[in-house]
Amino acid sequence: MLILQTLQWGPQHGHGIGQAIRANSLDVLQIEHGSLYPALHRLEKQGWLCAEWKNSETNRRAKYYKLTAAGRKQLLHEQSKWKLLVKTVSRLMKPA
Amino acid sequence: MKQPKRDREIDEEIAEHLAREIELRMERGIPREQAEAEARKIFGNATRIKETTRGIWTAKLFEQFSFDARYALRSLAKSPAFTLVALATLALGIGLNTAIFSTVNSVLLRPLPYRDPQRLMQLWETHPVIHSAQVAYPDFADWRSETKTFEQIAAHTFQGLQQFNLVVNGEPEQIQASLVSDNLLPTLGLQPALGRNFTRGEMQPGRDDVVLLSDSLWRRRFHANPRIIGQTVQIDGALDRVVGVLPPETPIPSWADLLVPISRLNKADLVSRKHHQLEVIGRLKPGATESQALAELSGIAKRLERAYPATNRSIGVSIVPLAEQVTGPVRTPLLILLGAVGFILLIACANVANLLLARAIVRRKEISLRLTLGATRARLVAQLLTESLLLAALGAALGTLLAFAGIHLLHLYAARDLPRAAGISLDARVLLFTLAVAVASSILCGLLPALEASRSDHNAVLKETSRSLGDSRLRGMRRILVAGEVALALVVLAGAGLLVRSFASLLSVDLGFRPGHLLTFQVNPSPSKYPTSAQVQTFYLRVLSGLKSLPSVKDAATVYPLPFTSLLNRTRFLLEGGPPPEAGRFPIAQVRVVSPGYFPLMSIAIREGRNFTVQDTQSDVAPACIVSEAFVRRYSPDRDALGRKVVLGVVDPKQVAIPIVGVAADIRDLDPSREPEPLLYFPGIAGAVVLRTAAAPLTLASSARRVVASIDPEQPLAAVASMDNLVAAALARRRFSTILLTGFSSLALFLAAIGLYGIVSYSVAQRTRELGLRMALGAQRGRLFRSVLAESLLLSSAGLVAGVILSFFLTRLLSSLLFGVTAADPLTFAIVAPPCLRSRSAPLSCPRIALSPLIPCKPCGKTRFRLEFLH
Repeated sequence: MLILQTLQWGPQHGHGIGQAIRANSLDVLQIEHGSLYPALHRLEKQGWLCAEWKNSETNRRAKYYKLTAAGRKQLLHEQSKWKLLVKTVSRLMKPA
Repeated sequence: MKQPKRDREIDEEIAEHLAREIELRMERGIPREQAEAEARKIFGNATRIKETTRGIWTAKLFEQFSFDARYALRSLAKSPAFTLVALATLALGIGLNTAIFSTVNSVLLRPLPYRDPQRLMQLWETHPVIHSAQVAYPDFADWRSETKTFEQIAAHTFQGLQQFNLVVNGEPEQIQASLVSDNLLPTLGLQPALGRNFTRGEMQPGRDDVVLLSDSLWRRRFHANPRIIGQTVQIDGALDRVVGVLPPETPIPSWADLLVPISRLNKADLVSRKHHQLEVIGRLKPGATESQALAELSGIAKRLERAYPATNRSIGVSIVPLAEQVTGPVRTPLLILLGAVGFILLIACANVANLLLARAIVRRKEISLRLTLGATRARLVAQLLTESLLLAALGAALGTLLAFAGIHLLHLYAARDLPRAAGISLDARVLLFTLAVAVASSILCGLLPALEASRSDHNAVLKETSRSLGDSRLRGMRRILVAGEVALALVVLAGAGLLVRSFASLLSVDLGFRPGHLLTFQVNPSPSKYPTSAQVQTFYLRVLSGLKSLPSVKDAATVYPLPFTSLLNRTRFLLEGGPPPEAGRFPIAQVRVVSPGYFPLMSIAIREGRNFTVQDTQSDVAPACIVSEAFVRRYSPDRDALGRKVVLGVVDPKQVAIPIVGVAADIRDLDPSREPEPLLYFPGIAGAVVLRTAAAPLTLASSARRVVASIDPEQPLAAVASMDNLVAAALARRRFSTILLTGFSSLALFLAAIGLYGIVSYSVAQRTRELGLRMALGAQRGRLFRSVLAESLLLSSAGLVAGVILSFFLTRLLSSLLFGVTAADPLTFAIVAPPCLRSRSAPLSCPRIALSPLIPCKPCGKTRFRLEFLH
């Protein structure tokens, strides 16, 4: 979900996605950088992402991932599921 | 090629990622080397990540498998000694299992070669003393006409009852015939290969001069001439018309060369309910059950009992599925053999597992390295299992070849002793079994080593020099395997030991006569040629005197029926002056008609009274009879049997009483493991001829044939055999399983010894350095031997104890096959244990050799070399 979220602002390559997630999470989520790639490829295989090789801002070839229509739908779905979960949990945690 | 492109892309993508990370760090002023290290560290295990990422895209299993298979092939080829030993062991184990299973398959599992064989039942009459007796013709006829649960009930006479003299082109031959009902072939679902079956109309005297030829007789005597149909052949001096030829494999009656209508039974046999001589086979109607059929036939039997109390009192019915009837006696031995080869396979697997464990120790570094480089444990286990699977597959292929050879041997040696042996072959089911065995054994021998090898703590291993702590675990495992092998080998050995002991005691059983130097054969004077009993007697007397004049014949006599042929002739009787029998429970004895020369010729002692005289044989009603000791024990235990009278024809209106003039020693017949049956001898000259010879009996066969031909050229000799052969044939089935199990047990022992040898010599090799050091420090060689010895002693003793306990339970399964020993025979266990113990001394010889030239500096030198190499 985090990857899909990051990509809704536009295509990005793997390194960028990783950085964005780390930056937005204020370094709370510390994961091995490498573990991002299997996840990316899994999403690509499911058809939620598509990828193309493009020259980057520093003029080097990099693989850019982009959300597909199905990916957007999935993101919405995940978001609503997440909101529901948060709402439910917070209601449960609220002191009566 | 899509795959490699994807791989390249993943590599590039990750390289790109790392490059960016490094750049970022270098921008912050971190030196390149440190930046690279940090980037890598934070990225994680690149190899594993690439692998996982690739795994998302590929059909992983197949790719992995073909890769693993190629890898396994390479690594097996790299260590040919290991591969050869493992292959040979597995091939042996799997081959034996395949061969024995193919026997079990075709003898026990494959359906009988008839239409809907599961509906075929063998029907017996029962008697309080004889549990399955042949059926009397009128009873059969009543069953046949009254049954509603059977589609058909058919009958044929049993083996050995009818011999006919067939003359083709002046050349006589005695052939086995069976009198059959017209519906025998349809009941079995068979059809003649040529011509037609008998018709119902041909089942009556006057119209029954028709015959069916067996395929083998047709080929042997009539050159497979199809125009034989409709022609006449000369049988017992009369002319019979051939109406058909049977298909090549007519399993019932398989022994008969000629089928003739059942109406050719003696007139008396057709109407008398006391002559039980038919084997009856019924085909159940679809849906009818065995118990329904039994209830129905028992009802009929009850009615017959009321209608004919004299003959049918206490006569009941029993039903056995035909398949069980045919294979019943060999079921237990075959399953025991299957169990034994199963054990051998387990031993073989344990050996290969042991080898693989040893290999795992050797390959520890390679495996640790790969674990460190990011291989998952599951991946490694899969790879190692692929290796054992490959081994098992190759082993199975070789084993199948072995099984082919084994089956060939079975055909050669077991065909006569095993029902349906001719059909033993490798079919789809056997190959499927082999496949299953191969997979099972690859898992059995591969899983443990694979799990163990991939468990090793790679850090420790990589740092260690030559010995590691992980070793002791593996060694413990190997020891358990070897102890298990010894235990299994002991079980097989104990089984074989018991069979050998019981076979030996069977061979040493006193048969009651001397079987050596006896030649036997059947002559059967045709009734059309010798219609009166006086003429038959004259014929026999001339034959006997002709034979006695042969130079190396010491004596000649006649007997009917000949001992150790399957023919049994029992009669009901009464002893005069004895208590009246319970309703229908007349005493029963076997009847044997012998010439006066029989007892001295066979060396059967006359214990009391006298032998028969020539005069005894000359009257129509026997003036005297001789009984056996078993007869006296059972029927006249407290009164002198001599002088009492045996009343025959107890179910007939006309009874005869014959005085007992002698008591003869017991003889064992057919199955030497059974107690002698009560015997009743009558004087007479008929049946088989027995010669006591000075030379080897069979060398006299042709001169005996000439003697008979000089008296009647159309009179054939049949079943020419030495008595030794007849006795051996009766024991053949036991011999078959005894020999096989003995062979299997030596194999098991051998394999277990190899396993033990392997582990002990390996541990000596492992301890070379330690032993060398100890020797250098002044330890006595003897002490070192003892410490090595102690290890193998411990292993084999543990195995021995486990084996004895296991055998105690398993050998009980053998008890039905044993004679003269009990399943827990202490002597057998005492005998089989030492070889198992000795198997531990075998492995000692090699370590001893390895140890002997050990001079202290050598292992140290070796160690130094290793250390240098590693640093």
